[in-house]
Amino acid sequence: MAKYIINRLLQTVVILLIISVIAFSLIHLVPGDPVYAMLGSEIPREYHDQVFHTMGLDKPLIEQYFFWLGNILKGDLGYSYYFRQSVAEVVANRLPTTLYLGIVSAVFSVILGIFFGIVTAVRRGSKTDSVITVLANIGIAMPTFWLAVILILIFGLNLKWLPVHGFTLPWVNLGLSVRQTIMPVICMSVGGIAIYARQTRSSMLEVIRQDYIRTARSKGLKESRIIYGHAVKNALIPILTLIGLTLRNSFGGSAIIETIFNITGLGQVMVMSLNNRDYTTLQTSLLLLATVTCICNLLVDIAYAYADPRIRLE
Amino acid sequence: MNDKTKSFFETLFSRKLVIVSALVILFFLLCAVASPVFATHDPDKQNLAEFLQGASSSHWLGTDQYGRDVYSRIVYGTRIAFLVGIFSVIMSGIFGTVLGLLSGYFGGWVDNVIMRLVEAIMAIPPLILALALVAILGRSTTMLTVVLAISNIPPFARMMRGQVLTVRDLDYVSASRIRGNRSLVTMLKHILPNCLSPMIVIMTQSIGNTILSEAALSFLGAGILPPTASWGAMVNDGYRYLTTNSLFALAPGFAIIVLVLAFNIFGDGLRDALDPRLRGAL
Amino acid sequence: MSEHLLEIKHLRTVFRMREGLVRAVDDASLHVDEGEVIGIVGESGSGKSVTMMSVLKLIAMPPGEIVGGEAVFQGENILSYGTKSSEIRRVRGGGISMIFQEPMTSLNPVLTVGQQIGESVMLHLGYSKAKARERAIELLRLVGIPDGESRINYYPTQFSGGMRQRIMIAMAMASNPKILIADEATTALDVTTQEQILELLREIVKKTNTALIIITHNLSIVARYAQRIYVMYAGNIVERGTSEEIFCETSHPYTMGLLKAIPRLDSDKSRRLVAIDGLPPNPAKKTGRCPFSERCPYASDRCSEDVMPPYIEYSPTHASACWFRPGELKSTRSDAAEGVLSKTVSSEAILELKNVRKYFPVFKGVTRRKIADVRALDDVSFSIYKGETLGLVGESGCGKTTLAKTILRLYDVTGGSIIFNGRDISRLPERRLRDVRREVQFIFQDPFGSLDPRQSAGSIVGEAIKAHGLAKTPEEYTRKVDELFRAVGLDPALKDRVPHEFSGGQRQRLSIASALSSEPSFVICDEPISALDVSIQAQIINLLIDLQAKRGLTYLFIAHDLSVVRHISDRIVVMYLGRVVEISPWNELYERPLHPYTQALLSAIPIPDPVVEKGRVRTRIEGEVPSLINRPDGCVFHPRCPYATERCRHSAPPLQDYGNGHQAACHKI
Repeated sequence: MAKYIINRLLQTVVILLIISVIAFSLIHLVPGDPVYAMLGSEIPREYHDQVFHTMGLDKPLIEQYFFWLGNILKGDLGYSYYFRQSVAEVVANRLPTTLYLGIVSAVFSVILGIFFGIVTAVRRGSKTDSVITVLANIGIAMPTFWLAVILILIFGLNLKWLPVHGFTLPWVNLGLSVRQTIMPVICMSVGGIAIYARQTRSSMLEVIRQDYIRTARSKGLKESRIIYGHAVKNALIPILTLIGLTLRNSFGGSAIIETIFNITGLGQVMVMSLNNRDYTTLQTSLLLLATVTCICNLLVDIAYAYADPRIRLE
Repeated sequence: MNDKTKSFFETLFSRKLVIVSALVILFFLLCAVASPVFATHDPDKQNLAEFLQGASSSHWLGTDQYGRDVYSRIVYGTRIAFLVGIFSVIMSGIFGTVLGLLSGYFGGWVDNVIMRLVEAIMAIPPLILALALVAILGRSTTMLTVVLAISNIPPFARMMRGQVLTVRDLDYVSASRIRGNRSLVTMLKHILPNCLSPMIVIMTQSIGNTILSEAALSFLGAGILPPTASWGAMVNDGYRYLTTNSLFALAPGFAIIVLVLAFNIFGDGLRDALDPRLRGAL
Repeated sequence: MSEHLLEIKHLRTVFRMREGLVRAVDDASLHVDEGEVIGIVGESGSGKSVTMMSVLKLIAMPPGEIVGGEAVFQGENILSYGTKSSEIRRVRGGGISMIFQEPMTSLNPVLTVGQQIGESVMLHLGYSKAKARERAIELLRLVGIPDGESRINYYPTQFSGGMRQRIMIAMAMASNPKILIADEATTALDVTTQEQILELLREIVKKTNTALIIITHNLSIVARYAQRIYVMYAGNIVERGTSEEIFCETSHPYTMGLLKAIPRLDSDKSRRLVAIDGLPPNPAKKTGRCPFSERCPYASDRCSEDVMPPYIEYSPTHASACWFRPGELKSTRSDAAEGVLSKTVSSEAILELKNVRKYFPVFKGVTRRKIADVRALDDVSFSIYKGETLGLVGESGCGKTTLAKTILRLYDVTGGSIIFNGRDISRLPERRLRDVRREVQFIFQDPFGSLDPRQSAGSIVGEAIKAHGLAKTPEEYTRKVDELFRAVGLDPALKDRVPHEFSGGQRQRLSIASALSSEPSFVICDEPISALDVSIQAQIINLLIDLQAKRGLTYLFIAHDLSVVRHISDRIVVMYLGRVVEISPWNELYERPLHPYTQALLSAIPIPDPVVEKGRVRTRIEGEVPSLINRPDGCVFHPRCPYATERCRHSAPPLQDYGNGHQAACHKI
């Protein structure tokens, strides 16, 4: 088990290094001179040269990379010419918001999705099963932004129950926070719920076919005991691996949700920096989100290994 | 048609829903190919006098902020959905298959390099990756197709590699070596064909997702350039005018749902018919 | 009140499948009394498992459905209970317990064995959690698992296959059932483990006066263990009787056919196996008449009547469902008793193995540092002479398949040399192996995995002809492929079909044709019949023997079944954990086995004859084959050897010659 964890840890480091190279290359792959590309071609020559130098663009590429990486590890994430403050400051205010929304919606997806998955598997072929399965299919096919638009139209504009923009952290103002979070979280978790429901259902149906379920049945156990005592645990182990994926997609989806609901988070920053060619911010946010995803993946894998005695005892 | 093909089609179309989804896809395809026939107006023709009208007999779904006919723009939007969805999936299917085949068959450092790269790319949220790639590659329909293809390559390569690893150890692959075949023959004649059906399934199932991503990027203004009609961009334009003509934002989203749903259901049907073992896989 | 413990009357179970109505069990009646051991024998698809699964309502419904009959257990018709009713659940596990074939998948991997055994105890005996735990420990001791106090917290993955089957037995016995059903419970185990498990079952049921129903395809097992036997074919019980009656006064042509089709350890080797022609019937196309009539050598007009023949009762216990008594049977087929074709064995070796070693490295830690070797093959030396069949036997982990793959150079050797036709091929690079590839061929065990599902039968068979450029023209290619089809008894018209359109036996024929297509001189057969039904096995063995004589082939015949190996081989090599422990001419091996392992292996194999079985003196050994990773020092067999001394623990005995080409590696001979 310890061996497994160390192994995964090293793998994660390698992956993070590759991601850092990808993020670093971003600014160099943009066509043309990066400084002009960011600040526009009409800036004075001296200003250009100064920025060019500050960003270390006059050094050899390898040196630049290590300089950049070293700075990041020290906490210096560079300067955003669009936000006119250090990227660290830009990010520090916004990362918690994105993480909060991502994790809350992931928790909803997992709990509700698994619940629906088990219900549909246990009652397969019933009306409940058909209805939930159809809804899950629609949930997967529905664009997040469109759902957001509908929710805004109904609950924001027509019924005026919920605020249509803004975000407050729960420890600042709980009531407002909850009201502001309901619609974004619904939008971000619908797809996840649908995916978990489908996967749990098929995983359950797979497990129910296994020999050890036949053994359990031949022991004379009650159907409920067979399902909850024997099948569910086995069925949920593969579902665990999905959690990393869900978090990743939630963080990605934040770009849309934060833009629509005007939430100052990392996703919105990325869209803004893309539209305003602020590559320093874009590059750093990318690295940050990927790092968070990698760490989540690592934790999920460890949980997975712990949950499955076949891996734990190896 | 031999028995196998026959039973394939029998299983594929044994569920009514799959038939319906196939018909829906065909209908949308028809809309894409023969857009001028289905459209009632020129999709790009502005008519500022008639902007943001509600549904009427001349404009079935009303007009947008430039007075263009929403219905006709949705019809033309099918083109982008199909073009981007199908071509990018085909592109990533080809690259994913090749990479997975190399990685799985040769193993060792080839596998290590390809897989670490794949994992790195997969750790980046796909939408964010696409945004970054748009920043580099610029905005055009072709580039959008490429961008979406790149984010699909890693999962495809991983799937293919897994398949190759399973098939590689099967007796008939050893048999091919023992019977005296060279490794290239073994790879192309015995391994590749036996890995393809899950690839075809996952490709079909990804078309819907890719259409969604295209819409999302266009919605964020990082996709199709105006004035070309794209469903995602239409929702983006429309949601600013929700109170004046809500159909402007809602109708294109509905089109997305129907087409994506059709592709997903068809993909599931294809999976059941081609390779029922995949039912539990991602 | 029924006089029997369990009496099944006229049970009929069907499965409604797409291809039609499958009558899996068709009017089967049987009974079992308290403390009795009975056997139900049949091939796959004969309905033997479905019968017992129907009684417990464990078949999948739908598509399955019990359409008729009753099953009276302790005076109650349990078939009348609902599938999920509490009554049937009290019978399941409480009155009637079951153990299944696959020990690897029949236990829940995420629950400890204590939880799984305790669950049954609490459910059926109403024990508290603490008392259930005590009972579980006691049960583990009963099934021969020591140290139950700590092992009870282990997960199934921490046990070997044999141990898991013991745990299954503990679980099944947890609630003191009246009947224990063992459904192919030992089929997946090694021969010596199989014997231990069966002995354990016999002891336990005797001690607890439980009735035991052994469901198996293996006639020999029931000959050794069952008091009464039911023979099933295509959903019907075709013959029933005491063990002696079935084997000594065999009355049904199917039972007779089976007995003639299997090689026996004590049989005369010149006897050609008499294969049962044809294939088992497609259960979806079953008619009302005797299901065996299509394959029966004695079938007459009467047999084509569309009714099942009634049972002829020979004694209160013995009956057979045939229109005729054994004396009235007249063979309608010219049973041209082909003798065994003669073959010549030369004294020239075609293949010599000299100290062949194959080690697989074991890596540890993140740096992938090599910490040890798994010695899959350790100093293996023997020769195979032109024209002979060399049998290779051993249990799992003995290295028989590794050896085959090493000879074929699918693996690289670690040490030693492989000399084929005078040339050392052990280190030739792949590109210089081409002519060796043509000469040395391989027949796989699994006829389902060894044929590419996407290629046509014709192109599978012709593949090597193309690869080696053996046909100059397309016509020659076609002619050669057709010849090969005919040589293995297949119609060349089937060339365009894909493998899944063939039956198991036909697929193995295709596999043989494909191996022969490059006109090899040496063929390695890796368990070529063990995946086939009993009635098909003899067809393939006969085919292999004929092909050898016609084409002058040399065989290395690998199997775990000593009786089959003995039947087909001229000499036999016995391996254990990567080492050769004995090499012997076939006739000496059974009469004068030298190595204690060979002795144990031989006595673990039952002979399908209860009279012979009762008179046998048997050597029994303890434990299971250890994993190669924990390979014992000294003589690899010493931990299980009844004669082991201090010397055996430290020094590995070399192979020594005891005359007649009989060699063994043991300090004690």
